[in-house]
Amino acid sequence: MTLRCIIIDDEPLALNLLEKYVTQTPFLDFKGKFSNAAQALEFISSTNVDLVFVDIQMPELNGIDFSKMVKGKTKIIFTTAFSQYAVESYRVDAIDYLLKPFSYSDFLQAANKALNWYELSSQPNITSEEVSDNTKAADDSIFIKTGRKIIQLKYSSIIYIESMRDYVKIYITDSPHPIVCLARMKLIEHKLPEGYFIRVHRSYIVNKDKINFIENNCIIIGRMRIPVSDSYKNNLDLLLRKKQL
Amino acid sequence: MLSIFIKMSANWKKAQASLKEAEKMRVEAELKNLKNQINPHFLLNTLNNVYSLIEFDKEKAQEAIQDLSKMLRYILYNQRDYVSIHEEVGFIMNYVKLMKIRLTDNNEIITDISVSESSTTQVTPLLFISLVENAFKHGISATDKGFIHISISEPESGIISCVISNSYHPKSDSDKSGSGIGLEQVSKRLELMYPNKYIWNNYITDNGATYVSNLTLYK
Repeated sequence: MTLRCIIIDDEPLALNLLEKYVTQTPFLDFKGKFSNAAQALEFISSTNVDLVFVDIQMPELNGIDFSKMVKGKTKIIFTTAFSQYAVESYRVDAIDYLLKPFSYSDFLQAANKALNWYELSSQPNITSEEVSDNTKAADDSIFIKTGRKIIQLKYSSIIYIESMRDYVKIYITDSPHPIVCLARMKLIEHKLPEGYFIRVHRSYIVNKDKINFIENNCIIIGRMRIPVSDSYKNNLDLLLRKKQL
Repeated sequence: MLSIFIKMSANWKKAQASLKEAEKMRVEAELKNLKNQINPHFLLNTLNNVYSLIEFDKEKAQEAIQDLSKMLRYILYNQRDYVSIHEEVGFIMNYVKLMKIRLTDNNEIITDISVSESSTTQVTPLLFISLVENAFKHGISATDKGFIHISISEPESGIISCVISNSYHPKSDSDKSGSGIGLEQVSKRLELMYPNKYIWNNYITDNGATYVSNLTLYK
């Protein structure tokens, strides 16, 4: 897989170094360099671009505003000399944030993140081999990649999982905040053991143990109401047939 | 007799205290001054560019590091009230050289220095640099053509004229490329160091296309 890639920086030297980094990376397909963001926007509107490296601090249109105007699947990696922009860059859902001056290995790490994202989001259905492999392993936890960390979660600590486009939010017992992970629902559904979890909606997987009660096609866990959709109602019916008194 | 002694001692203590206070204020002002003089954005941006230069042009990179060292030495170890015009011009030339490596070919930077080598004129340091910084802040565009002309001369012995004209590309408030001392500070320092001995005009000309800052310092 290769990513079509453009770079934007108002300073020619920074642009040259970035170009060198891109062209020496086998999985990046260099499509163009721009000294201002407006020209880059124009280019993107007529050409498919997967990944943009863009400087934040530029006259006229700055990198953050540029990223807000980029539509569709194009992903952004920011480059800047000033760390005060970091928070804002996460708010606009960038893949990564490179603090200048950055080495080729810093660059490659960020580019790899983008590659992972694309590979994950274009991954076909999981093979049966992988699934059976997964069920054989009789363990009680799953590893979740979130940000730069890979954390281990006990099945019993997961309450439910909600999908948000390309991400899933995993609500757990130990924290009021969900764990956000770059993964599709289908993938995580296959990784979780059927005995513990039940898919009840296109956007929801629930830990069976955590269900308080079921009412009007909703599963109630604590204060949370999780909808049960028609297409997944069978899963719930099966469970109830087996377990209902 | 004793009461006089007590009174004197109290006065002496008071005087000591106010002396201490004055010293403290002086140190604080110096520190603040130092912070104002080193523009962190300039420093970081220059380092980034040198990092890239090392990849493409090692000799130019070495030259840039030398220029930067000279600038830092001048700022950090020079707390005199007056310096020779040659030192000040050298400092400005270093700054201009370092700024030039960041710019595209769209921009034309011209410096014109005509101060006789034998001149012994002294000026207050880091005054013109604020005007030069300002020119780089507003005179440069990534898309359009831009120019900055800097001229420093001594038309008559002891009289220093600094004229800077640049293409005018006013920038949005969100842009943080400049900062430094700022023009307000220039005004304050001129009042303090050259009371009634300077003329400073800033104006926009060529139908808004050119910004001119014209400062003359008299003896």
